[in-house]
Order: sequence, then C-alpha cells, then structure tokens
Amino acid sequence: MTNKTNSVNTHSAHKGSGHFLKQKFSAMILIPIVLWFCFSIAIMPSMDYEYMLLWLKSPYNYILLSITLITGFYHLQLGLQMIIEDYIAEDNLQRNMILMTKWICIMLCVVGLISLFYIVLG
Amino acid sequence: MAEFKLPKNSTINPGKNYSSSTSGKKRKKFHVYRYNPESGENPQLDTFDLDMDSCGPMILDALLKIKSELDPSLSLRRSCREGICGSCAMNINGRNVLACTTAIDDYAGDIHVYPLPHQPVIKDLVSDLDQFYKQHASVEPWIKSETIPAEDKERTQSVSDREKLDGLYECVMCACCSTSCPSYWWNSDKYLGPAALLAAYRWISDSRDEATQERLDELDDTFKLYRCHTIMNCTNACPKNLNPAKAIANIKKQISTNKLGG
Repeated sequence: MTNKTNSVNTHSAHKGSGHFLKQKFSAMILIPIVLWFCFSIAIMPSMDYEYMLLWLKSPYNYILLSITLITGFYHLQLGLQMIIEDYIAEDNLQRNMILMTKWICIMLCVVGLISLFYIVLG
Repeated sequence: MAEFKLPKNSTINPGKNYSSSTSGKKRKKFHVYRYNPESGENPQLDTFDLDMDSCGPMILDALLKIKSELDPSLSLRRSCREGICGSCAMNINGRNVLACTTAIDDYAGDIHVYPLPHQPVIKDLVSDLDQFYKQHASVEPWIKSETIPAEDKERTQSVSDREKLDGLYECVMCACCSTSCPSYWWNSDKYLGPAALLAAYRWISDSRDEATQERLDELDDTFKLYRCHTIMNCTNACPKNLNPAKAIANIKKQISTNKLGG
C-alpha cells in the first residue's frame, strides 16, 4: 500500500531534452577519451614518477587530460542530478542538493585543472 | 525521499490456512495477499491448498476456485479470461502478469499472488489504478486534426503508415508495465509511466494526427518522460509482448532530432 496523492503532472517544463542531450554528448566525448587514457596507461613502458611527469608534460597528453577532467566532471554532475531527481521528492531539498553537487563538481574540476597546470609548469 | 521500506501498517502478517476438501493426488499451495482497509488490520498472506485435479489450468481458475469454494470474500478483478480486458493483472511469484493467461504448470513450487506493486490497495488483489487512468487521459489519446475529411469519407492512411501503429495500439491497459517500473514507483505522481507514454507514441506515430509537435512539446519534461532510464522492466512485463521502452526511446529521439534541427 502506498498513499501518494493522485495528481497528474499536466505542465511541461520544456527542458528535459536539454539534459538528455548534454548527457549523451558528454558520454560520446568520454568514450574515445577514456579509451585513449586506458590505452596510454597500458602501453606505458614504466610507471615511475619521472616518466609520468614527462608523459604529462607532452602538450598532446596535457590537452587530452584537461578535456577528460572537464567532460568527466560535467558528465558526473549530470548523472548525479538525475539520481537526486529520482530519489529526493521534496522540491527544496532536491534543488539544494543539485546546486551543491554542481558546485562540488566545479570545484573538483578546477582543483584538477590547476594541479595539472602546476605539474606541467613545475 | 523514495520509499524503500513498507510503512508499518503495510507489513504483511502470516494469515489463515485453507484446504480444498477434495483429496486429489495433485495439490498446489497458493499464498494470497489479503487486505481489507475496513478491518484496520495489517495485510496478511493466506495459504490455500488446492486440489489441482478439480481446478482449471490457469492462475485465474485457481483464484476463482478459492473464491467459490474456500473464501468468497477474496476480491479480485477479472472479466474476459482471455487476455483482452487486462483486468486480472497481478504480481505472481514476483512478476506482473495477467492471471488468466498464466498457466499454473509454469510454476514448479508454491505460487505467491500479490496485487500490482507500489499501488494503493483497495482490497486484496484489487489495486487503485485511478492515477494510472488519469495519466493515460493526460496524453489525450485521441485523434487531433484540423483537416475536415470529405463528406461521407474516412480519414485515409497508406498501408505503410498503418503498419507504423502495429505494436502500439494493442495495449490492454492492464498496468503490468507501469507498475513494474522502479522509476514509476518512486515518481508516479510526476512520471507518466510506460503505458501512458506508449499511448502517447501511438498518436505521435499516427499519420492522420496533426498535433505531433504539440504532443512532443508536452512530453519534453524532466519528469513526464525523462524519468525513463531504459530499465526495460516494462517490455519484460508486457503480457501482450509490446515494447513500451522502444516507444519511449523513439519519443526521446524525435524530441532530440527536433531540438537539433534535424
């Protein structure tokens, strides 16, 4: 038995497709980029600090890793938003949780990008 | 928050045991969910030990045998007994099925019969489908056309356009699909559910309907449509072998194509 109110959502927000498309596009970018990352790690002759530093300093690897970070965190945020919308029914709590995950993802992405930048410069 | 546990007044207690008087060799136990809101008591699971030699082959036959021979107070919906009316939809051994088209011999052990999941229960196996019907009505499942057909003429449709409706119009509104969908369990007040979306797509696909864009615009909503995460329980559960998940994917595809200017 459940006691949900019988009401039908007759209003359309006209915005569900935007989130859906963003999720698909970011996933499409992530497929080749994650494959590249795994392949690069797999074929590495050595995993020591010096070699990793050298690998990160290559502009090609630096740019691709930055794209991985940005797209990965963007995709993560979109996914978390969907989970929150699924399981948290209370409107205010839902809005705040989505906002919080957005800021956490932005923050972690910025920290990642700055760290990468410092490693490459250092 | 989504409900992961049954409320206290919904916890199922052990119930009574009944046994059919005839002593046939072939017997089968049916554990049936019983709930009467007027009693103020929690639901219970009654056990009916039936003689299969004097019982018809389908689950519905067994339930009707229970009702006529052992406990006339058992409540269930049924009508056509041939999978056309969709009335006898219930959860049998964990799957949503039509009791009239499900054979008893398909199950090796005891049979557990519950009402459709995550719906308010009116009594025993009768669930309250009010919300489900309202959602169906909300997609306006009828033809919308400004064009007036020639006098005494039908609205014609090519054979290939008619074929596009196959697999969409056969829905019997049993609610097996919607009530098997976890997204519908958590958000049935906002998500339309597979059955209503299948009905919506039936009219979106109809060449005679002139409100395709209007219908797609109405469905472009985070909750109405995009709670579907392609879990596919709906397609798995449909007793008519329809594919609501594919219909929902096609609606998303059409909205996306329009958005991208395709």
